Amino acid sequence: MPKIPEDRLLFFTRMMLTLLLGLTIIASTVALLTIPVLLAERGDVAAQLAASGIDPAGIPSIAILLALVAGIALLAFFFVRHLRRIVDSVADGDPFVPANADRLRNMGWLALAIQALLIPTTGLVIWLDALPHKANVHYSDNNSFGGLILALLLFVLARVFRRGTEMREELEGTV
Amino acid sequence: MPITVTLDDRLHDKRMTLTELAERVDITLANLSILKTGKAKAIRFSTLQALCRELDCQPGDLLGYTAD
Repeated sequence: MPKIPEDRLLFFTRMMLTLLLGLTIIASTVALLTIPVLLAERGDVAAQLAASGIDPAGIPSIAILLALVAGIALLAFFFVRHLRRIVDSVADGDPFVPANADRLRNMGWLALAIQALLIPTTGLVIWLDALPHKANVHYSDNNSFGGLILALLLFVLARVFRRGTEMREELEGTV
Repeated sequence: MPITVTLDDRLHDKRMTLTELAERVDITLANLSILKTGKAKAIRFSTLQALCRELDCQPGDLLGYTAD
């Protein structure tokens, strides 16, 4: 297969995805490392929150929220890594390979898992936001069907890719 | 695959090499070799037509069927 010459779109996309990979790793690591610190220094944190007029009852929930954020970031990392490998295969000039169909299907499952984790995350954020003397937690109500539609789209695309791969193999075996 | 390609026999009958046939039908030697060794998944009518023309035979002379 001829190698597609590097174009600006692919270059920019690869740069963005590499940046996203780094960000997801950082977000996941920071969230995970904060949990033991928060729990170990629970007394001090509660005292400081109380002194600032913020209800310290939300500390365990904040720890759970951090674990959920770490989980979402980790899933996002794998999602972006799959996408990056698909983009790499496009740059190599050979995107219709069975591996890409598997990657798209896995991305669909990851999108579903992220969507599933967003439900308790949003619930916790709403609960924290409703605490007396608000813990200054802000959230945007973006809990739409977007994630579900994305997952469905990825599953369909995976099938399209698998069929495309089969058709290419058939074509290659035609004399 | 139950479909067999008897291209080798026709070439032998015609005292023609695979390279020579490849040049005449304008198909790469690699592709013709795939066809000869039975590794091809499909054959185009245009290929069959060219082979029949050069080997002076019918499509049935190039292909055979053996039940599994």
